[in-house]
Amino acid sequence: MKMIWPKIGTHLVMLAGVVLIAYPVYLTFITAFKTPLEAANNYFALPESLTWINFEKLFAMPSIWPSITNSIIITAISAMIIAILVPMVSYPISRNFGQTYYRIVFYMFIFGMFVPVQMLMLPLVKMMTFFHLTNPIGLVLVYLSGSLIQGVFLCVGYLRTVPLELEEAAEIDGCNAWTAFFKVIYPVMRPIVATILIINALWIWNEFLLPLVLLNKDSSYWTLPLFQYNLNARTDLGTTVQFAAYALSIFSDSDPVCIHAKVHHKRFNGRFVKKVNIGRSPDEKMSS
Amino acid sequence: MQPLRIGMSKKTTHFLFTLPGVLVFAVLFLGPMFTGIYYSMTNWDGLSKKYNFIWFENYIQTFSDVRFMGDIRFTLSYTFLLTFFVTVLSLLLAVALNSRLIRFRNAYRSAFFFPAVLGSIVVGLIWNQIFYGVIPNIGKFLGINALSTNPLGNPNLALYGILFVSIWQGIAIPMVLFIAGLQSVPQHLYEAATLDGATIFQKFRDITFPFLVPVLSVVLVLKIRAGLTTFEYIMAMTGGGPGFSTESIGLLIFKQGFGNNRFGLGAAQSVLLLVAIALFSILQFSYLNRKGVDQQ
Repeated sequence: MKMIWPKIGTHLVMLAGVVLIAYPVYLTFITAFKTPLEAANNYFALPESLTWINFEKLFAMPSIWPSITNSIIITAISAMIIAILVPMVSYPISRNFGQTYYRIVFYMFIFGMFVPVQMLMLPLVKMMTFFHLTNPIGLVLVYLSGSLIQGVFLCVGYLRTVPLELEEAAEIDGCNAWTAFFKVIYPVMRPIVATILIINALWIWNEFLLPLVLLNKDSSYWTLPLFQYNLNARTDLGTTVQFAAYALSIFSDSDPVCIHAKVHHKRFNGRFVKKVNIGRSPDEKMSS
Repeated sequence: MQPLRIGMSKKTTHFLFTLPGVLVFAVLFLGPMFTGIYYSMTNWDGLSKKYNFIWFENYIQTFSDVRFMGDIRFTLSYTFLLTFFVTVLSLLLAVALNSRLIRFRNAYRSAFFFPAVLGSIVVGLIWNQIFYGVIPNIGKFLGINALSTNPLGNPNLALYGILFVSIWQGIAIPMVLFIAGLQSVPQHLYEAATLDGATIFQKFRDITFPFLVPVLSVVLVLKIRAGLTTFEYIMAMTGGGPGFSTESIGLLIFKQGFGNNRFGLGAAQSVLLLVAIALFSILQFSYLNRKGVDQQ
């Protein structure tokens, strides 16, 4: 009997937490389906009948479709390039860590962790304006440079668990450095590449500051978070339309949740933490 | 040894592999960073063709600026509170959700992880609406005077409003990291400790905690960085107001550069931000590294 009360207590605390997490989401969805009058009368009640009028108004806005497509294109293209760019830099670093060049390159990426975006943003805007890159292409390039910081760190950490014998065997079988990487090492790196892709796709999909400074001038370049932010200033549309937009965002954000939960939990729960070990450089691990 | 089929040595190939990444990073990351440091010593407004090199005048000016000092106070208290609450709450959650005694652990985990996938701008906007429409109703109903108006409109409460929202979303990732850390603790250590008669608290302090130090380190760095550079929630919720009471350094730099045309000054403040992040992270590392076990 003594053991049951702490258990019930824990469950109560957990449930309170779940309600706290779920309530804003619930409120967003019920308000999105209310008429403006209903929402003004009572915030908390369920809608009397599902009305799609807010979504109709939302999708009638000229800037929404470009915003959705831009977000999808920017995230997809960045992810595709990151999937190959990051492992390609990390592999030589992990295998030649004794050499000064690779050591410098590694610490250069690690140093990026300390640099706040605010520091880059002002000069970046000047530079991108000069090169006529204040468009989605320029934004993708900036995301690529950002993805290298954490990506290389995670990949190099992962690669120290990949035995050297694998490449030696590949070389004996007639692979050169190029094919050894693409045919033997890259397939082995798939789990960590998946993790990096999810982290970066989520970051890029939701990122707000860089689109704000680089793409805000032209509404045909907007991304979804930028659209949300600009919609907030449109008070003439009423709060229910804004809630419809939030509901759309929550819905689109939740889509990667399935993948995320599947891959991430396994990855994080098992070996991941052993790799998040900043204090140690790859060669120290080799010797231990 | 077989001769290579393509006439390129392993050395050259490896070097070429690093080239795209290094170039992208050098041009789009290091380039802006160093031009930023250069501009921080000029009085450029960001628009005109001419500007003067004024050495450290921006830095001196920054520290005599009342607005900047107020923003520092806000940013530091926000960072401290955020780091403290997120670390403590996510650790407690992780311990609770890692225990085999709790049923529905996976359901709870997914629920608490959910906010992490949302964009911070949307989260900020939704909570902004809740603070505006829902909280005053609850405050009036419960008879709490402080909550009977929008807390974000109150200079004394706005900080806590923003803090609450960032904790709401910020707990998710540290929780998952801590759960992973807890699972890396070898179970036989607990069994041995139980045989030796250790209490639950002793087990946590002497077994669990040393194994959690690497994760704790990562969580602290993530949160200190997030706190010092905070921008999106404030942009979505208060825009720095009322007055300048919730203006963070990150927001101030943005305003100096894009609104006030004080490009040089903004650059100087961003360099100070970099120094602060580096300093806090290094302090934290050198302190915690002595406490952890060296995992083999």
